[in-house]
Amino acid sequence: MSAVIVEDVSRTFGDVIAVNRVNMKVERGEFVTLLGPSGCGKTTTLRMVAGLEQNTSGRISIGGRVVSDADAGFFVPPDHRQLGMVFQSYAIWPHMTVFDNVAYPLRIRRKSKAEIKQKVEAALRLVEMEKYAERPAPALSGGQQQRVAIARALVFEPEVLLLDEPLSNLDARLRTQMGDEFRALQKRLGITSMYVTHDQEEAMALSDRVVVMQGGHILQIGAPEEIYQRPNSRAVAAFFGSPNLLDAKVTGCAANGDGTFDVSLSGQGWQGHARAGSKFESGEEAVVLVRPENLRFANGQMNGQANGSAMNWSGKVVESIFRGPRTSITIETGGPRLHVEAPALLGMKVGDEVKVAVPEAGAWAIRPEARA
Amino acid sequence: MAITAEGGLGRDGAAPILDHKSYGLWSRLAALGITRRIGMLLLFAILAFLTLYPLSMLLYGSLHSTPPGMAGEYNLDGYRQILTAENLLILLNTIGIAFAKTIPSISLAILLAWICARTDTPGRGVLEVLITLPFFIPPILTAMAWGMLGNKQVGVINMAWQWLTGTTSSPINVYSYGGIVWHMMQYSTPFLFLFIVDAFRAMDPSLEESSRMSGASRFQTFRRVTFMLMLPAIVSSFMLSLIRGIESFESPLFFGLPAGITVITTEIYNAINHRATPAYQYATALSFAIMVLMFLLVIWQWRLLRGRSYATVTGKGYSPNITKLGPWRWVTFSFCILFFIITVVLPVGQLAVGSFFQFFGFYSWDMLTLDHYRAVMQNTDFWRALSNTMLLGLMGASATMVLGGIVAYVSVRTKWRGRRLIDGLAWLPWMMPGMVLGVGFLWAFAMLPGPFPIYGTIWALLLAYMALGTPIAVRVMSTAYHQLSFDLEECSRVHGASWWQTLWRILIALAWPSFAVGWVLTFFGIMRELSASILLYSVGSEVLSVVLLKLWSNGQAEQVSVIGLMMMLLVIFFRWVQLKIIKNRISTL
Repeated sequence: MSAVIVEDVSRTFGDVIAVNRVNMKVERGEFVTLLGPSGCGKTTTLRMVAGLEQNTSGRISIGGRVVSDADAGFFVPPDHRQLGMVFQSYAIWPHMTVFDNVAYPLRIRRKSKAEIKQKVEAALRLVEMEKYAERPAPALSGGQQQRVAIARALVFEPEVLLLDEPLSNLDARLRTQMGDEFRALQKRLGITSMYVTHDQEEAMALSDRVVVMQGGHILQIGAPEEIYQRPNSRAVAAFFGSPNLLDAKVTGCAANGDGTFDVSLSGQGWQGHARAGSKFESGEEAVVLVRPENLRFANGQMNGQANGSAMNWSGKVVESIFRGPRTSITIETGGPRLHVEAPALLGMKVGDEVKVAVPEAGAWAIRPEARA
Repeated sequence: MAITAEGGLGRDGAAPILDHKSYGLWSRLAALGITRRIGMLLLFAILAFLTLYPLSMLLYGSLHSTPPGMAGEYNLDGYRQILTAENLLILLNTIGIAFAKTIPSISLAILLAWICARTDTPGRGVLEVLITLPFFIPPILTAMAWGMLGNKQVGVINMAWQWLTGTTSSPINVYSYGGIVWHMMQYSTPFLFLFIVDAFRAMDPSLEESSRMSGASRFQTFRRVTFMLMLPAIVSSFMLSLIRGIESFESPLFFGLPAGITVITTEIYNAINHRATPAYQYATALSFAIMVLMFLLVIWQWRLLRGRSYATVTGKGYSPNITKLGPWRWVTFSFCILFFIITVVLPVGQLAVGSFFQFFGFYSWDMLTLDHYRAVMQNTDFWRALSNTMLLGLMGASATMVLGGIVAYVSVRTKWRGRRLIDGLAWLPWMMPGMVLGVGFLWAFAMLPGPFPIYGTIWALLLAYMALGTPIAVRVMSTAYHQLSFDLEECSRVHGASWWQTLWRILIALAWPSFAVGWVLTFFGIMRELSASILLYSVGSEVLSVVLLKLWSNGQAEQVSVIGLMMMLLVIFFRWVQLKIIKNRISTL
């Protein structure tokens, strides 16, 4: 059974539609991330699930129980929803110790002293903060506050754990570490989690599935690789990194038998193949997504073996930026300008004549307009 | 695939159960906001009674020919009587004195604030406490003390001058324009200091550092960056001081009336209390006129400040740049100590000395006595006034802070409809001088129907004090709420606490130090209040300030000293408690 069901949920603030007819399901034990630029409605969606915001239409259910139904005028306040939540600011209450902070949900539920002590200690052990139990909350670093916030959200075994950009206030190194730790914990305990972030890498690394949102709409829902390699629209494709999006005309289309299609394309000064998630007609416009890191340099000895590639170009390096682990290279071909992320060791210089190719799995054709 | 992006999940899909039973009534009521609306209506009614009602009664009374509660006709006589040459002089006196005290007070306050916040003057923490102390002393006490110190015949200062120079001239006479301004400065400087010192302290030091890096000298930086950034704070303090100066009653009462100098507040007081037949209509018309003047001042203030409030106060804990003064730091130190001696030690010393001698002005060993203490102890008026003041202080401060806390919560933490109206109503008394509010309530209570015999009781004073204290209570509590992020509340709600539990365990638990500080402030305010009390008291409901004024008018300066000294001790005790609270609770948050 699904842990969270969001059906046709909208939220308007005056004339502004913050969330527009959103549908999604989160399965038990699943980690789902809401991803999108700021103002896309992801936080509002999460807050509606939490009950901190009332949906203006649609229905939300948690654990098989309706918690909000705008049409029926039914709304369960947040304190009756059995949820855990980690806030962007952590919201550690400064007038309590670490122990009191974590014990708060249990005390509100009138648990016995012994049970509170045992559960709080267990929760603190889970986030490795058991040594800090008697510390006053303001005397903690950002990372420690984060751990306390997680312990507090988990201590009463909530139906669902909601996380609102919990890592955004940490520095880069700590962010990765905390993210990985949290993902391991989530898998071990099998906690159903809804996570909001604007950071694509975070979303990729942590989630079972990602919900990409923009302008209050859901653009696409899928596993991280699916979203990244096989987006259903230009907007989703453009959201991750700075991809090459090449305009082309479809010259042929054949089904592959596994639900995907093989599309023959012809662009400005190039021809080739790409995969697609739906059938294209000949003569139709298409956009081909080629991720910069999927482009390979076809130098001297590899030249003859470029058969497996779906398409290839030759051109001149016009820009090369060293970024440490890799080098960002811009290539001017007769037609499109291509961005390539290459291993730093390659040593390309501005002015070099090069050939680049992309394997068939690395080219993905989508329709120019976002699919409705 | 469990998630479908293209909508239309069947309603029968997961078969969720609508569980209306457990949340039925409450969630429906909450959804409709009925309880909330009733609450808002109640709040509006209370605030309207405290502010709008006396204000409209003021207008009514100014047009009504007879005293409150008597049949009469409507005319414009009251306003006609205002338009005289004497009243023009009174107006000029009022405004002139307000300016004359504001300019030196604010310069002194800036200097003192700079010394305490931005220099390495020794003992700055203690100095700050000492400098702000005069603000908490009821002005009536210092007025009486200075009345003794600066007396032309037997004042200590003149006697000391005569002893030093051997002449018989008396250079100091407090019963003059200079005396009024001098006394006003003593409590207005620390008040302005409190405002300005925070502006000095909350400034991001990098703003000044970048000016220095751009090649500006220390002084250029102060003039072009520091001062300019503080200008909004200084302008608003200036206007506040001006308004307070116009409202001021004690200084012109004590030092102006004996010298024949009248300002608007004392003119209202005279018209009601010192004429053979109280001229209510004239006094009320005058009160309404001063309200209009205040209103114009407030509008002027808004225009001045529009778009000029740089958010230099970011809530971050900056450690501001400290200027190293070298040997000069002892000069600034002495300067602060001198300020403290003049504003606190001298008047308190005078009260202490005055209370132990047989007659004020005759200081010799054989005149030492404890008679005055005995007299005060046996004075039933004093005991009644003390218990009235304490009762009013405790009840008034608690009621005002609860009201202020609720108003601030509604206007800061909610998006409820009508919250701006509530906020505006609560702010209204800010520009009503105590004297004017007193006149308004005089009419208001007299016009109440029979079942509410508030007129002439202690409850009349309580309501007036609540009205006068609400703006400050709201301000203190809004500041406290602003500092608490919404997440702290929401987090509690999500983790299972109801609205009430959250209010109690999170918001009140976090805001109570501010509540306590505001409570003490309001208590001080009630203890020092004279202008509204003098109009609203009657036999049996006197407060300390009224009894003091009566004793003073009867020439019993020695008993005044005894009571004054006790009140001083009370002030110092409460101030100490307040500082303890701030230190222990607020600084740890």
